[in-house]
Amino acid sequence: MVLAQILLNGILLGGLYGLMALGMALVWGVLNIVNLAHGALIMLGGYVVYYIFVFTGLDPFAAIAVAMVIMFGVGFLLQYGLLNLIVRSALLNTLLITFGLDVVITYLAQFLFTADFRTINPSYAGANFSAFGLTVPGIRFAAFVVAIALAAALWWLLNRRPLGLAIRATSQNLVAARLYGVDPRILYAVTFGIGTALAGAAGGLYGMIANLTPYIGASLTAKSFVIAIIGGLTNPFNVILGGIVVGIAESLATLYFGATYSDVVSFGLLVLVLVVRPTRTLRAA
Amino acid sequence: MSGDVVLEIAGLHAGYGAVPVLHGIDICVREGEIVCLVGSNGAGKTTLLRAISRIIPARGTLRFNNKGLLPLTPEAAFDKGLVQVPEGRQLFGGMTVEENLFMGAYRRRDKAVAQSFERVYALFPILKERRRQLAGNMSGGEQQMCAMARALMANPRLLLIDEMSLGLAPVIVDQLLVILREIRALGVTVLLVEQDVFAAFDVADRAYVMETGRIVREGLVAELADDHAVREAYLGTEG
Repeated sequence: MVLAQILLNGILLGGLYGLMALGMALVWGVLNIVNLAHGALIMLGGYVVYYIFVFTGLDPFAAIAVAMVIMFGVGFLLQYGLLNLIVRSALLNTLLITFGLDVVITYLAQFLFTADFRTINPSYAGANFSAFGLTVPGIRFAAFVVAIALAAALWWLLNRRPLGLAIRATSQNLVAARLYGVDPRILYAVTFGIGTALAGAAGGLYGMIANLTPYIGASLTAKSFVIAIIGGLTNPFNVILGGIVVGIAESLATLYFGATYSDVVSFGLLVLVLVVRPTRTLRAA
Repeated sequence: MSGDVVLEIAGLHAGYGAVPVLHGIDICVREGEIVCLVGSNGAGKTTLLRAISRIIPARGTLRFNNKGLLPLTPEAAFDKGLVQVPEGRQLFGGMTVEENLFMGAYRRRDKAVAQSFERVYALFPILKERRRQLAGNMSGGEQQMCAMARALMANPRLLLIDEMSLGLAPVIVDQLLVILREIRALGVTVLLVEQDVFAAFDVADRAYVMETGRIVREGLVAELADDHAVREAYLGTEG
């Protein structure tokens, strides 16, 4: 029974992990940018949700929707004004500039929001319910549902909407996409905006489950990176699945080895995947 | 046959950076024609198509339906009905045939896209059968058909086709030539760039022969096929 409970916790946490990685995988797959500032954008989204919640009293889940719109704008402008300069350049350039961006966002956040721990704490924060003899924490369950819903929305956009077709087309063949009238600068900005909006949603959910500080970005980037590699870059549901795999592994590691080993496990999983199925992951990357 | 001038090129120079490739090209294409541009590797045929599609800078006269093309972006030229089928098909390999065709109509805001699908599937019945398949998994001939169909989805006024026959079996090329005539019958003007002179002369009304960035011969296909220099250089059947 303890094991079942741990598995459930891992799955619920994994859904959120998957959502964290979703934006990174999208940007990586389409723009070929490994965005080292992705975790910082998650952090920023968390603070946006926190301040909307604190100042307006809006329900955090509604605040997440508002924050996604704001974060879309932030991402659009970042890509259009800055990252479009390096979008087709060498990998090192994209790593350098996004690493710089990570530092700037982190210290801007420290300056604006202070280094104090913040938690998004609605009245129902501690609520939970029972199912099949297991305790289901309400917020984590809701976060899991939101993650699945956003992955489904992204899948629908990419596979059923003209904009999504253009995004996939551009990632597969830039020359042909340009020949058929896609303006890559705008398209890249929209794609990065979507990725940032997803990061913002993940940040809001993270802030309801854990503490927000300006310094969470780097470790969230690392986790997102691992999950994007495991889940691949093309199918949103696979990314969520990758998140669940990591979530379960971390929960089991916490149970058997202690919480300090959870990061070891997620990166160990990355090494394992690269050793066992390198072709699939390389093709994705 | 000879309607209004659709594409007018005069004294066109273009190249890559400091390297000039085209040295004053003169070409004109009239409404309803199939015009072919032949020449060996490195003659500058693809460069000319890139200049027409406004992908690379150029100077000289370049007019489409009596309007200057040179100031336009590739997107704006595309919107005017100047659509290219690029060399090597350049399909979206991980997308289905249907999605590829839809991308051809991506810029269109009219309601007739469904009719265009029907028109294109009537021309290429095999694509209708394969519409759920990934474009990258099809044979070379089917991919070329898909590339041409995708271009037709954009409602072109002038279709620029780059190396249609490249890497295809002769029997497939013959099928494509038949389809090209049907496309012309739909009111689409065609500029066909080919290395395969036999195939090009089979379908075209007029031809231009290009060598090292210059037009060296031009005329009706029937005349050029009898031209000694052309026969020697391209048809390999002197005498």
